[in-house]
Amino acid sequence: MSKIDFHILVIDDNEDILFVISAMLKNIGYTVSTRDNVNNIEAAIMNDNPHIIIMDMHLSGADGCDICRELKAKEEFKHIPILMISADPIAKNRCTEAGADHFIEKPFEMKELIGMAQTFYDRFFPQTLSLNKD
Amino acid sequence: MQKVSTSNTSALEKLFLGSGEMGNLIIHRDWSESHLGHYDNWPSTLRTTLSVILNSKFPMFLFWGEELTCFYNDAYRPSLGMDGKHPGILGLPAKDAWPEIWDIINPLINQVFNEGKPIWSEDQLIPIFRNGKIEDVYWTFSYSPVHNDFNEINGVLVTCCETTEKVKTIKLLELSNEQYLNSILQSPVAKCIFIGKDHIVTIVNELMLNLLSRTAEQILNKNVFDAMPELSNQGFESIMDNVFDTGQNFKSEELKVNLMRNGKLQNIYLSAVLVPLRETDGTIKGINAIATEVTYHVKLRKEVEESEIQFRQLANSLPELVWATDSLGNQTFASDRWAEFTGLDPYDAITFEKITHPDDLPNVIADWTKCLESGKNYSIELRFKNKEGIYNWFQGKGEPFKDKEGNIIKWIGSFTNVHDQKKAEEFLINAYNKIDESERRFRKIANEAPVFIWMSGADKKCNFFNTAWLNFTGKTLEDEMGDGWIKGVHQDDLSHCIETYNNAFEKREEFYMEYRLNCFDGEYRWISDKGVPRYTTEGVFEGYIGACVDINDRKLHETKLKEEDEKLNIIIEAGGLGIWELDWLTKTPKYSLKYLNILGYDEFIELSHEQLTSHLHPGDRAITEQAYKIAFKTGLLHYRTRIYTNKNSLRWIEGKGKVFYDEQKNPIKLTGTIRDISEEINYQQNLKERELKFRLLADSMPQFIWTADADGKLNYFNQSVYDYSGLSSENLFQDGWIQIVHPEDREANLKLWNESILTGTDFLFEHRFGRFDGEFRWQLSRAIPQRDGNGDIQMWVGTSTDINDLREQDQQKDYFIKMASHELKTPMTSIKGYVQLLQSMYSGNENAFLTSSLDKLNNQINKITNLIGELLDLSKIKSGNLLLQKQEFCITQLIEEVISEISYVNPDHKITFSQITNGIVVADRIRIGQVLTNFLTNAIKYAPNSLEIYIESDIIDDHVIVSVEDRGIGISKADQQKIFERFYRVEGKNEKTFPGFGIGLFIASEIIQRHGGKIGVKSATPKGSIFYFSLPKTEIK
Repeated sequence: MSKIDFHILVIDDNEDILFVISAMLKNIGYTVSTRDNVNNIEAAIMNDNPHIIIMDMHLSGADGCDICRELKAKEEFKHIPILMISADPIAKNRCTEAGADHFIEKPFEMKELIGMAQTFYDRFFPQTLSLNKD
Repeated sequence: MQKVSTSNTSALEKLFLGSGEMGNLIIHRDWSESHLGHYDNWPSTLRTTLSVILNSKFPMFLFWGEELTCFYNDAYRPSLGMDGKHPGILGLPAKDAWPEIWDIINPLINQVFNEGKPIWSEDQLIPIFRNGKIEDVYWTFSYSPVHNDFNEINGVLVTCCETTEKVKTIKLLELSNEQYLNSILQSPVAKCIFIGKDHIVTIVNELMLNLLSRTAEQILNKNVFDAMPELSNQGFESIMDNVFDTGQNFKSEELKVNLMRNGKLQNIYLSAVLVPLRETDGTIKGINAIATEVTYHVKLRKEVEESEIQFRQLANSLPELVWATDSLGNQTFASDRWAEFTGLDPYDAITFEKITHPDDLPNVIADWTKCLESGKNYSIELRFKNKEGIYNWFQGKGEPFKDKEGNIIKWIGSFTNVHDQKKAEEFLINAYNKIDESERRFRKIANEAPVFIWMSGADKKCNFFNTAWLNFTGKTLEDEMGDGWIKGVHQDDLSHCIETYNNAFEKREEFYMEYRLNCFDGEYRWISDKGVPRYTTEGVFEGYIGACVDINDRKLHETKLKEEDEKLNIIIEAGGLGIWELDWLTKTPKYSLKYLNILGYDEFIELSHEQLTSHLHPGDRAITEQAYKIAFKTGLLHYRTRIYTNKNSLRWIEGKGKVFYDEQKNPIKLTGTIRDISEEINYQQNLKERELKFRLLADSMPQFIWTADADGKLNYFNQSVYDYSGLSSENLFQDGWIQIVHPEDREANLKLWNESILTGTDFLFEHRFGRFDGEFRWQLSRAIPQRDGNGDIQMWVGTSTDINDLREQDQQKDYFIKMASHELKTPMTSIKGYVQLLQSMYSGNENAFLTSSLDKLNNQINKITNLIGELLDLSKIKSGNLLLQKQEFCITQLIEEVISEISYVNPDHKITFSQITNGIVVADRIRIGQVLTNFLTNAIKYAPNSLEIYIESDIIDDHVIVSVEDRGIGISKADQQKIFERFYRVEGKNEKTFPGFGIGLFIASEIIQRHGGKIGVKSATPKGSIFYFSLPKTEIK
């Protein structure tokens, strides 16, 4: 399976961040879809069927942790790993409690994020050779 | 010479010719030269004789005439043999015919010729031809005269009579005699031949010689009784004569012979046979004696018989019923008593059954059978029936008798009539039982008694010690008996002890003494010993009986008391207590020197009660009177009064005492102490004053001030508290103070307060107090314990400061910072993101300026990020709001995580982690992670030339220690002190190279300290630094 088959969903209310993340990941070769809000998010997920979700904890009008919790509670979505982005380290516990599979603190190194995506990619498609981190 | 008629001649010829060879020879011999002439001229006697001879079948020989002319017949001829005599000697004179024997036969012939008496010669061997052969024939020759008509002897006729049989017989006899003789001589038995009626010892063999103890010379060829005179008159003469005379054999199996042996006369016994020795004709010629000595056997037998007899005599003389059986148990002997007692025949087999009591019989039989089988001695008690039919008890015994090989040959035993004894025994047993019983009872009681009981006899030797004594000393009765107990007495007490005992014994008096006795554990204990003489019912002195009690404790107690007394006195003296005693009835006082000292007297002086009481401060007399009144009621005296000492100084004293009563409950005595308490009183007064001052001060302060006792019970609030809260002291005292605290803060408050009370650590807490108007305001409360000289907490002093406004401000600020940093982070993220995106897009681009610019941008962004982070943390710390979210986690895991994060960003650095020991801690994982991150980033930052970092984790003294070592520039001693302070930054060569507010270590320090851990650095410039922190380890649950 090639990277193009790996679908990442990025949710962040900051358009810059959203852009940068998706650009980076697309550069690698993954398929990225983005959302800047969580309205009808479940439908979107159903539609897009991502392998992983990268979500900012602090979303306008919503709490990333709550969303995470809700998703994790549902049979259809709980298998999808969620990577939370947050501004402060204290929130880490909250994220974990919410069921987030991983946590990255902003501002983060792109390498970090990419590395995490890579990890999840390898998990999903273990036969493929490791990529050059560009 | 007359010529004989021819008829005569032919008759003679006819006679001679017909008669055989000799006749022929005679006829044809030339007789011319012979004296006789021609046979025709022979006298008639000659002719007659010759005719007889010639016709006889018996050998005959004739010597005729003066010349003894020899004639013989055919029968005689063989005896002449073949050596030439035949026929030569026919017609020869005897002298010529028999030259070889002429000397022998001549006298014989002459005798016959001259005297005319026949003679003979016996048993001559003349072989003759007979039975077809030559046989050995024995003859007896007879010489008889031949007379003529005129009775003149003309010749000698020799006739032979055969004696062959006789000779042979004789020869045989001789042979057998010879053999016989040899057999005698070589016989294995003693043999002896006596010949003749004189019993001459003719033959005697070696054995016989030995038996008779004589040599051959001594007895051979002698009359036996001559040779051995000691044998005479023992009856042997008649025996031997009898044998000799009658020819009857004599046999004796035990012939007693008195014999001389080795010079001594001895009785020996012979088994002897005397047999007559006969001639060939049957006449007795002597005696053949054969003998064997049986002395030993006879003696032995005789001894046995003797002893048998003796035994029987003895047995029959005894009163016991003596018996003997063979090895199978068959009765061989029963003494006379049996019959006398039982009236029955003891040899009758069924008697035993008849006389034995039926109850005893089975046992008796069984036992006897067993003994017969085993060979063990027999012992039984049974009843026999006597002739009157009454049963008597008998004691029976039996023993086996063995031969040399150990085989039983017989049994011998006896039965003793123990009837009377038995009765006596029973009686005695009963009596003894009774005594025994009472003895036993006594012993039982004695042994169960807790006191030690002993008894001695009239000889002073102890013969009884009860169990209690033996248990105490740990000895056995054997050890203590007699004088053995003395060994247990302590050597210092020994002489006194023995003396007392002996003295009392002499006088038969009671005694009491105390001494130390060795206990089973080796220790000595004091015991009291009271001894009392005892007598039999008849009043005979029997010895002593005594009882001892362990008084060790008492004794020790006494000593102890004395010691205590002394100690007490010392203490009392040291304690500055004056001791006094007052006899209430006589009002006589007694007092110690100290007492007087307190009253102001330096030396001892006799004072009366009034004099003493005169020292009392007049104003306090009432107090003492009152105190005494109470004392008589309660028994305890206590007062505090002022006195004027002898030196006119005013002092406070405290008096304590106890009242002693008589049986009627009237006070008879008081004893007590007094103490100078002036200092205390003063002190207390001072204290009171100080307290007052304090209160005044406290009330004037706006802050809330409060105190609590050592148990945490609030007992003072300054006025401000009451003014603020609107509550009263009743509300707040003890535990009521919690009312003032905001409900949400109460739980935490109480917890922390109780902790402080328990542990004595300073109390620090932020909580809300309720104001009188219902508002709540934040307070910062602090309390510290006040300790006395021993370090024991006496009370707590606390303050509460209103920080409400501050807090609000803080909160606002916090919020602001939080928001700010949060807000800052977001744009930072996008900036960073864009830069990194550009970096990745333009990596490897030829435009160096572009790529380097992007790098620089990235770096700067990182710096800003860090600064923002630190700012955020700082703000939290400053506000004291660094809340720790503690959890249990494994240090190693955290370290590894942090390392991987750092390495990710700093791939060039080599971080080596060696876990010496893994630890589990309960701490804020994120914060500790921050500390570690800070260490690592510092290590990277301050050691740009070194890419090696070493991390270690270990457990020492229940603390988990993590250290980070770098090979950087190191930190100077001076800086080491300060680097953990806020805002401290190490001065470096190039400040620019060390960006940061310098708050990283400060924050780290705060975090660690808040965890109750330690943080520090070891450094040596320019080698490098080791930064470490420690956290308390938790027990693995």
